[in-house]
Amino acid sequence: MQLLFVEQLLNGVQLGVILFLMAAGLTLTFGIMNLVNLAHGSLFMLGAYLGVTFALVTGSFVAGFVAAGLATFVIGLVLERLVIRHLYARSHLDQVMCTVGLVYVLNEATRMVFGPEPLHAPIPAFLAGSVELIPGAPYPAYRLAMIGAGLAIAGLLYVLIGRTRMGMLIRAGASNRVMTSVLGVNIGAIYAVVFGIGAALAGFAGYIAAPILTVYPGMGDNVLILALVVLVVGGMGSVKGAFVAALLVGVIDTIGRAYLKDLMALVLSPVAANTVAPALASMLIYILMAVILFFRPQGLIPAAGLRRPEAPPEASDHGPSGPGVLARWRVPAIGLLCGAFLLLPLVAGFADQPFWVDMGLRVIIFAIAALSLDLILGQTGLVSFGHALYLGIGAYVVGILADAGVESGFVQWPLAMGLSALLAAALSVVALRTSGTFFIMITLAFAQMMFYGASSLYDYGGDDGMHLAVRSTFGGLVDLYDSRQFYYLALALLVVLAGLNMRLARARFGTVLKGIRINERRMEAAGFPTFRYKLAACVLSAAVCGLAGAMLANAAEFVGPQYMDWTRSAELMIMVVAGGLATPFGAIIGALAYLGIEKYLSDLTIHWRLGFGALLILLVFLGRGGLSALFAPGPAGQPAPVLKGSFRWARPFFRPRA
Amino acid sequence: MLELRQVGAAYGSSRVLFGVDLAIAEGEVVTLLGRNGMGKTTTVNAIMGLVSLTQGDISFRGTRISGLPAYKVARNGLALVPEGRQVFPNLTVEENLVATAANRGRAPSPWTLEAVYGLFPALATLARRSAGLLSGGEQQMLSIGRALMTNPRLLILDEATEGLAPRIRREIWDALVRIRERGQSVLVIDKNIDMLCRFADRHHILEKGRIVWSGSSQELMADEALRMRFLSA
Repeated sequence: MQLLFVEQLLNGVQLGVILFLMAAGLTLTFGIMNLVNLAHGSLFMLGAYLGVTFALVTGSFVAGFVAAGLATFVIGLVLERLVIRHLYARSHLDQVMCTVGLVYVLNEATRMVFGPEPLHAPIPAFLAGSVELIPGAPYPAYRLAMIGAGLAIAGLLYVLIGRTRMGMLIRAGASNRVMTSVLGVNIGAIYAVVFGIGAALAGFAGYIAAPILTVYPGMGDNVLILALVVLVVGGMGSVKGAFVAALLVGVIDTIGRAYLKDLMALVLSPVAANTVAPALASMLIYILMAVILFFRPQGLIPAAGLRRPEAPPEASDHGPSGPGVLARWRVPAIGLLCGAFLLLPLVAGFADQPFWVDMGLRVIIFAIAALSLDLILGQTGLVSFGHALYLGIGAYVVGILADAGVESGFVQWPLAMGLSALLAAALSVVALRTSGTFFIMITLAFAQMMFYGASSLYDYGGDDGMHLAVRSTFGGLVDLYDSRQFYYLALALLVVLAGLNMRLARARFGTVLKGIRINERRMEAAGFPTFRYKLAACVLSAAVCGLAGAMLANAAEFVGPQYMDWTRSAELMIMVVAGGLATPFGAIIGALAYLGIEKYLSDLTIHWRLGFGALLILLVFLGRGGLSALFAPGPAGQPAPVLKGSFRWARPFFRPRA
Repeated sequence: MLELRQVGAAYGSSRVLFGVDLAIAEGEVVTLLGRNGMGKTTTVNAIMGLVSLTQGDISFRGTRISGLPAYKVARNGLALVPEGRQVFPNLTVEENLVATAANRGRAPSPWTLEAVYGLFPALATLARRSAGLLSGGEQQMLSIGRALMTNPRLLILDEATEGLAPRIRREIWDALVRIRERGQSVLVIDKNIDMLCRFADRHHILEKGRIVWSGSSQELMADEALRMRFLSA
């Protein structure tokens, strides 16, 4: 037992070391350049692929190690020059969108070059055996070497940052960028080198982890999310914090998976422990993160002396500044859109293409989800990167109730909304204690937590999800098995919700949200309890997204953890940004454009994600204001008056404290 | 050595400088005077490449430096001791001095760590202390030392004695006098006219974004009306 414990502890340390190498690069780029780089996981993957390939060609494990670091360093420099450099002064939302685009491009390019099959990375012969650290407890030599190599690299990093002139300049740049350049330092070059070093660390991590992981395109994405948790727990921008947090997360995750079941069996029945423990174990580190954040919103060891320039307020630069080039076609375009949505089932009937209706239904469902995200992302400026979570909650509520024999949509759908709202209230109380980048990462981590939780629901299909037993029934009013009826029900809901959205935006509530987006401090100083407004927006938005999830489960007749995957959250975000922020038409056009392009590109080539990622990057740099900006009417005319007398019943919640 | 010709600058749509002409010769100590909000710091920022010009140009020892990024301006031999000191709080005192140092022997007599510690003995005893933990006066000394360590041909001091205790002020003025004795060219912005008249060769008064008066210390001391008009608070 004790021997096994030592082994598990070492496994935890080994995971921690990998996480540290990942988190170190992230924390450096964040601390110094104030950049959220989600493409860091792709560098991990590239390190593994390029290093392993080089090792296989040369037959030398060490050569592969060097190659992994060098190649990712160079790739990092090139990426920095071509893309990343242009993101430093942009909003975090732009940074997230653009680096997600990079993830698509890099992962797909890797798939094109190396093929979809996993690459086998052999353990080198000289590390193949095992070592008896304690008599009777052999431990794989390779894993031990991983720990050693990771700690050595961590040590080198410590010396580089703490003892060299380069390190001084890195720290100086982190605390005062302008002063550093006034003293004659080319801070741009420092940034590039720091990004390169971060990339190389990720590359090393990918290479040394390759023999114990599967090397496949996208392998870095899960590690990235764990590394983000490390970053948040440790305190952003702090290398020391990243080290402590990485070991903590690595050990807790490993030990939790190994022992939680036994521990829970002490207090629960064995059956209950067997069901709950795996889910809880995979959620453990996210719970740890939430707890730490609740008590220490800055993380365990916040970086000392960081005085980052405030990033531009989220989404502030997205408002259409003037009439769009297609402004005169605004009314016809909206008419066309409405007409198309209304007539689609008829047209599909004439054309004998019934799947058009299903496509249309999908667009409508995602438009509702995007609309709900727009309330917090577009109107309030809260960059939530975990919104698909509620899509999943809504779907699972329907799936589980249907499985339990409760088939009525009158029960299922409101419950889906209610549960989403409740969960959002609980999670947002923690998440809203933070702001900016922290908020992005926490929402992402929460969604990931629920993703893993859902993946461990073995009674409901686990990883694979489950087939929906029966679509929701509405007491004979609407038959969801008739695709036209389902379509028109969804369309009606979309129209109602879009109307409510516009109404809310013009009410005092919406005006306050807009104020929060533009300058939260000022709103607070003006006496508005901004936390409560943000909380209400999050809860409302989650409820609507839960409804979309309930519909999605019915439309696909499938419920699975895939609905809350982080790429799904990214998709929702892309829809909102592509369509245009803070306008209901943006969300609708965005969903239409996203699903349309996805369909078109994926019919064209299996590597459609490559083109898609490139489009995304272009969108960030060229598509100011999204598609709806093309049709923007421009600033002419009076701004719409605020509707003050509305939603009186909700007033007490928002009453400023005396 | 430094020459500003018809320099204009603006923050967004609000113009601050409307054609500033200024010249500093090698080895000279020159002041920029004027009330708050008249454009002194903006002039300095324009010289250092932190504010882009709307008109005119700036050259330093025959090369045009306007339009260059700040770090290239600095590498031409200009160093700024900024308003508010702006030391790197997360670096130690010695790291602050060493990090951006350039021992290229540009200045009349190159500055070394020993020379800076000789100038400010207080810093020597604090060498391993985090700069963020220093007192205001110590941070000011550090900021001056840090600028000297880049071996500038022209040292620019923006409000170097502002907000300090009289005793510390005197200490810093003493140090500046010794810096001057080493042949260092200095452009200084300060409020202490008496001290500046003893310290500097020539003075320029900035009013509403233009130089309205230039002259020697004797002329400035003699002209009470001038001082009342442009400098009294």
